[in-house]
Amino acid sequence: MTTPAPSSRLCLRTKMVLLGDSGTGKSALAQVFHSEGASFPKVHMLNTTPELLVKTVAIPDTDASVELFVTDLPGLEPFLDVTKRHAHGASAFLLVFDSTNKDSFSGIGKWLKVAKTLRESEPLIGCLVATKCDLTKRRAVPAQQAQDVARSLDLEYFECSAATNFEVDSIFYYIANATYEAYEEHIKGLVGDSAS
Amino acid sequence: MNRTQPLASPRVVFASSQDDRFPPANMLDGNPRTFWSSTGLYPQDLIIELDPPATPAKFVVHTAKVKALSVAACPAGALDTATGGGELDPFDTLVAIDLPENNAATAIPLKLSRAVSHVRVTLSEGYSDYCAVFSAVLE
Repeated sequence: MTTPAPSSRLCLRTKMVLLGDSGTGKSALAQVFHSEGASFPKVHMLNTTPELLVKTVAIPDTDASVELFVTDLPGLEPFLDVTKRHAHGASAFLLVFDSTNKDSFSGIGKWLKVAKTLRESEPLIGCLVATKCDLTKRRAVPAQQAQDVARSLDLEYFECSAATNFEVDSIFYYIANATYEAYEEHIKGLVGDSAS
Repeated sequence: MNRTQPLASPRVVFASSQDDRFPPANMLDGNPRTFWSSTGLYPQDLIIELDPPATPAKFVVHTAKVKALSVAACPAGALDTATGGGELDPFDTLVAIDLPENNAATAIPLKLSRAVSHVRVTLSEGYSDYCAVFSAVLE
């Protein structure tokens, strides 16, 4: 494999979707990440349409960056069709549940099914995300239980709080890094093929 | 006229994504092992300029992981606002094809009635998040 040129600039693009019940904090998560903590929606604005937020994340120790097309989708049942259609083409997803709401945690099975229908070929990059972790007194889903579920579903697990901007970036950085690694695998495969 | 020879000096003037390690010029360098790779999302566009304008009979592409592609061409002079139409999209779609998962070198016949200055390949769907083009030859 040829060594890449020293200043190789690479901008990857990936579409990622936020899935989860209504009110779990998907939009807050997306907006806090996009605005670097400057904008936190204090009032729940019910999402009826998909919202697209684009942000570029640099990959440390490389000249690469990943442009994340964060697609925030409505979580209400009547909008499920819209959600599924707009999730098409995604390579990564976040399964979001509210750590203070047990129902939203039991609801992730339904969203996992949606995620699995997004494509048949390569598996998507996926994370299970617990939001509102700053509300410790109202915590209803134990971290250990969520971690075990994440492990059984082969998903990376994150606990965060959009309100205090705690660990929000880590989630998106994980997606960006996983995207970069998948791309490098694709390149290795091509170079390997052409060399044979 | 013998049209089995590749046309002289085509060059890639537009690519919708690029990894500097695998630039679009790799598609035209005659080396079957070098390639251009997309960097995510579809559709991807590549525009090849023909100078001077010509009438290629076919387009031979060797791709990887491409599921669907279409070819369009811009008639010579259409981009010239002084004499041409000055249209917003001067490209006429010629053909759209689907490829099997195992992309092999595919010869796409082009039915051109007049000389074209640019040929655009649109990779509309892929079998993977990323696709590649090893060679794109107009003959």
